[in-house]
Amino acid sequence: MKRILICMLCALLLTGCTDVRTRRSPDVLALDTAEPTRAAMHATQNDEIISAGVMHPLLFREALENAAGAEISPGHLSLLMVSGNPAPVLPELLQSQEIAPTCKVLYVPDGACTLLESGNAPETGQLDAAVSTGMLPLRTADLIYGDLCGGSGVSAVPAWLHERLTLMLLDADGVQSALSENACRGLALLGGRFETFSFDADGAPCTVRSVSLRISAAVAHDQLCISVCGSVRAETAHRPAAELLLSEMVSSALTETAQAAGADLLFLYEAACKSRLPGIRSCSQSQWRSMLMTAAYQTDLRVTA
Amino acid sequence: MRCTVQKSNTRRAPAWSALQTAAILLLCRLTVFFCCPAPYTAAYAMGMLAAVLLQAALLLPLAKLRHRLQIPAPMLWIYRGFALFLAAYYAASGLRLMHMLHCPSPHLLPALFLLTLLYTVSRTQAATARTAVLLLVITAAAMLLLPVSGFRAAHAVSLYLPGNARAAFFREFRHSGELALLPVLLTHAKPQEQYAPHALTAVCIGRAAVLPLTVLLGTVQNGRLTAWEGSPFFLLLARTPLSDAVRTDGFWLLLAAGCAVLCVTFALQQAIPPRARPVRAALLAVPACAGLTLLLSRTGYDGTGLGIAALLLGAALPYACLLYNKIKGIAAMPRKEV
Repeated sequence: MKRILICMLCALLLTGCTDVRTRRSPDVLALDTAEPTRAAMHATQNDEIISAGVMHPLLFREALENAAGAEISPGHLSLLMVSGNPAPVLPELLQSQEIAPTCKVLYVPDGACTLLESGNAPETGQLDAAVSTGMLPLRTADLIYGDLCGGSGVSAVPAWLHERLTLMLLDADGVQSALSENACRGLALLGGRFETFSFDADGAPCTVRSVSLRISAAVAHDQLCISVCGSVRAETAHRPAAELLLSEMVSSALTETAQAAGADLLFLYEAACKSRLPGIRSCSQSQWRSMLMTAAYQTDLRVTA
Repeated sequence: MRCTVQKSNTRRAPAWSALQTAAILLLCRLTVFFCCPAPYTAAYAMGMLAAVLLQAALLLPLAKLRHRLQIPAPMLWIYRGFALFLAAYYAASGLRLMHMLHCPSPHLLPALFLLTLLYTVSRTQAATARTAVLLLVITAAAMLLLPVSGFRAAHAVSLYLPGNARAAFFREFRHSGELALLPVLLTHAKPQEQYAPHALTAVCIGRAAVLPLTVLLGTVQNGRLTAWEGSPFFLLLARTPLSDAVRTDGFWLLLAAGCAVLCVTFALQQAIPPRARPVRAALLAVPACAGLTLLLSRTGYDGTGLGIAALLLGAALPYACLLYNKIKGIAAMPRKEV
C-alpha cells in the first residue's frame, strides 16, 4: 500500500495538477499575427481579459503569464481567434501542442485582440450553433492544418466578417476570398456534421433528416470530372423546390471552392485516388490545384421522403 | 511443444501461463507501436499485416516441436546480450515518446524511470508476468473505446491516401525484437506442451488483428494529417475525446510509460542469469541498459537489423539448439507424449 501511495504522489507531482487555483485557463485566445504582434485571452476563472504584446505568436504563453502574474494553461482552450495570416501560425501552435487538435479557429480580418478586449467578439457557442444547424461546416484546427498539408494546399477557415460568421479560403499566402452562404451550407451538407439542417423551400420549411451523397472523380476527354450524386432524406411539402435549393448549395460549394480557387475541402484527392486516375498519386499540390480549377463539376441530387 | 533450457539455468525460471506469455509479448509490440512516429495509412496496415503473417508462418512451426530444448551456454549468452540490447531499445523508444509528447519535468522523468527500473528488475519474473496481464487488459479495454468515441469524425475515403506498404513491411520487422525472446520464454509456460502453442497462437492472432485494425482506424480518423510530427497514435487519441470535457491523453501517457517500464523490466530480467542475486543483478543491468539507451538515443538508432536478427534468433534458435545437441552428442531429455 505504501508503494502504491508513493507512486500516486509521484504521478500527481509530475503531471503538474497541483496549482489549479493559481493557474489561468483561457477559453478564448486572440492572436494578432500582423505587426505589432499581440495576444489576449479570456480567463474563465475570474472572467477577465488579459492582453500583452508578444515577439512571436508562439511566445504568447510567456507574454500572457507575465501580464497575468500567473501560469497560463491553454489545455481547455475552445476558440482561437486569429487576425493576419493564420497559415504559418496554426501548424506551429498545433505541433508545439499549445492548442488541442480539435480547437475551433476563427479568422478576424484585423484586430483580434481589440475585438476580444471590447467584448464584441462572437461567443464560442455561436460557432457551435452555426455548425450544429448546418450554416457552417465543422472546421477545427486539425482539419485546417490537414487541408494545408494535404489536398491542394488550400483550406477554409471560419471568419467573423461584417458582424456575421462565414467561411474564408486560406492558403500559405494568407486568407483569400469569402464564400457565399449557399456554399457554406453546401459544405456543411456534404460534411454531414450538423444536427439539424432546415431551410425555406418555396415558402414551406424543409428539414433534412439524413444525407447519402457520394463524391467520385473520373477523367473524360482529358478533363477531370468531379461528380456528387446521391439522395437526401428530407421532410418537405415542396420536394422539387427543396431538390433545386439543395443542388444549388452543393454546386455553389464545389464551384466556389474547387473550381474558383482549387480548394480541396471535400477529400476530392482521396476520391481521385480511389478511382485510380492515372498519375494522381504522384501529383503535387499545385498540380492538383490546377486540375481542380479546370475540372468539370456535376451534381445529381434527389430528395426522398 | 516441449522445449526447455538446461536445468542448471532454470532454477529461478517461473511457470507462466499462456496468457501471461502472450501478454508480455503483445505489450512489447504495443509499446513500440505507441512510440512509432510513422503516419497511419492503409498501405501501412497492409504492409504490417503482410509482415505479421510472414512472421507467424515462420514462428508457428515452433509449436510443433516435440523435443526438449537445451540451449547451450554460448547461445544463452548471445540471447542475454540481445535481451540487454532490446531493453535499451525499449527504453530509448519510451524516452522518445515522452519527448514527442512534451512531457513535463523532462529531467525528472528519466531519473524516476531509472529508479522504477531498479525496483522492478529486482522483483521476480512472475510479478512481471502478472503485471503484463493487468496492463494488457487495461490497454485492450481502453482501445475498445477508440472506435466508439471517434466514430462520427471518421472519413473512410482517407483509406485511399497513398502510402508505402514496403516501408511498413520492413518497419514491422524492425519493431519485432521481442520475437527473439520467444524460444526461451516458452520454456516458462506451464505445462509447456499445453500452453506454449496457445501462447504462440494468441501472439500471432493478437498482432495480426489488433495492430492493423488500429492503423486503419487511425487512417480514417487522422485523415490528411500525415505530416504530423509525433506519435500518430496520440494524435488519434487527441482527436477522439470521449466528450468535449473528457480527454484521455493523460491516461494513455501513463499507460504507455507503464508499458515501456514493463517491457524494459522484462527484457532485462531475460538478460540476467537466473542464479544471480536479484538486487545486485539489477544494480548492474539497469546502469548498463541506461548507458546503451543513451547511446541509442544519441545515434538515433531506429532498430534496423534488430527485427530481422530477432526473427532469425526466435525462429532458428530452437532448431540450432537441437542440431548443436545432436552434433555434440548431448542426450535429449526424456520425451513425453502430448
